[in-house]
Amino acid sequence: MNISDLDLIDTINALDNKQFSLNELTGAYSERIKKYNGELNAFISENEVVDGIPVGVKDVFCTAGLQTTAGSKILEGFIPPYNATVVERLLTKDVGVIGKTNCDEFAMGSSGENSGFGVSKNPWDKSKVSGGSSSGSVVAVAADLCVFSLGTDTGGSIRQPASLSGVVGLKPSYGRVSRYGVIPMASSLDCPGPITKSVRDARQVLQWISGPDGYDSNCFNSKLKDQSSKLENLKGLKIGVPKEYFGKGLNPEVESVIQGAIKKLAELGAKIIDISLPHTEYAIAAYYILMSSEVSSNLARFDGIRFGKTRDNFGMEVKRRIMLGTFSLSSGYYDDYFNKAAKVRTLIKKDFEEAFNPSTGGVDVIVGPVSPTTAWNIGEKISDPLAMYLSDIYTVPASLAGIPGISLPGGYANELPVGLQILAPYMREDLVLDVAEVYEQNTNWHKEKPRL
Amino acid sequence: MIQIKKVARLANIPITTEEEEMYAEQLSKVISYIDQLNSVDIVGIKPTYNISENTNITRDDIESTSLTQQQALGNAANIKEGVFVTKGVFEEK
Repeated sequence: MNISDLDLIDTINALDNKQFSLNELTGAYSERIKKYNGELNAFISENEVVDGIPVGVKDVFCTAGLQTTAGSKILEGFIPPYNATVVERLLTKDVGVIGKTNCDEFAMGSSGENSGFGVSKNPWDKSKVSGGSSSGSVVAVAADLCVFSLGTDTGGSIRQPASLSGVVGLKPSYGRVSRYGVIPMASSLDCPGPITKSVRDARQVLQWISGPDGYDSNCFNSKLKDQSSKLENLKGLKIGVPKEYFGKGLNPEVESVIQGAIKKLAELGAKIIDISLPHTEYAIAAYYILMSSEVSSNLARFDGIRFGKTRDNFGMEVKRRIMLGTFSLSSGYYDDYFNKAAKVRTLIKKDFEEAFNPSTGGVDVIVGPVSPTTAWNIGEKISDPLAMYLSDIYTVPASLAGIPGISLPGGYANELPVGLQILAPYMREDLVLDVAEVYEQNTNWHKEKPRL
Repeated sequence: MIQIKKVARLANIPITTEEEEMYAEQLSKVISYIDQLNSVDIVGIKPTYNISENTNITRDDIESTSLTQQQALGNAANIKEGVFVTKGVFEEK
């Protein structure tokens, strides 16, 4: 048995059955970090002592006594005095932080290239990006440098890198998981969530980290339902396929992988129904106004006085978004930009509500691609921010609507992973996980490992 | 059109003249993309600022431990007699 091949559930079982010790477990992963991190650049900081099942934590989560940079030079050397709620909760479950994972600066990016600490490499092809912004978190899981990791998803930053790097990434509903101690990007969108080797692991980690802590007023009444009764098959389940997710811009090879996955879901008993989410095409435009506006407010805290360095240390993408947000909030533009985008957000949210509405024969879940392409070459889109933004078209709508979504391995195109996205109504992670787990159990994609 | 210099000043972002040109070009492209929102019919639509729709969420008013002064000051670049040192706000030059 190769210790680092095991998912979280098997790792817990093996520890319980004394098949190996905690020391052997942490040793096996530390060994792999030593061997592969130099090349992959998944971790920004490593913990000296790992006292528990090794988790990689995106560097936007505060970890007491351990450098937390948010991928930004402005926070180089910042040592948080307290733990984020999700980190604190993991520590009570015998999980230990093995290191802080690389990410796009302040979680702004779709490729990992905006990190102030260098790009993380895709383990399937090191000349490709890993996806972002939770770049190091997906690379660390894909390359077995930790048992699971934590990421944050604001417009797709868990799902999209999970798709490009071939792991499971769950974006919970907005408000399901506390943001306390998470360095904020866009407060009406930020969702912390798990990145794992299997769907059942994502379920386990969500159970551990979700629920109110009294420090996040949006995270209220959000304890997960009992997850012991799961779907055995998809008989009678209605799965919606939005035509807007299969339009121009979707790479044909990715499309054929996703169509194959949909066929599989039908074989497993689901009824496949064509649906429409008519405002999808406006999602990116609305998102970039709302997100940038919230970014410009949130990042005003970096004044170089209480923590961090001066504002000239922000990277280019961060400066772009702060300025775009400042522009859209500025006098004379507020109604034309921010407020209009907030109204379009309502329409996007309604698209989903109507698609899921049981009284009009709505679907149970929606499936589609996560990203229009597989991982692209490092450097390919870095000088064209708009091209980079448009790659988030299939993840951003669910973020605006606050609903849960998952990316899980759905196949390969030219030997690069393709993620299948499953979306469900607000606070129905149970449905997302059930459908994902049935699909995973009936396919072998997740068993493939990158050759390092 | 976006006036980068003005926006940068409002945002307290120091930029050079060369950067000004680059950002003006990139952000103009982004804003003209965003202008497609003008073609959406939003008459009578209420804005969504927050999905959770929670209001007046409070916690019990019970004392609990918080950061010590030393912890709170631990990451500051410049402290004096137990407080942060900032630029003067009301001083005349």
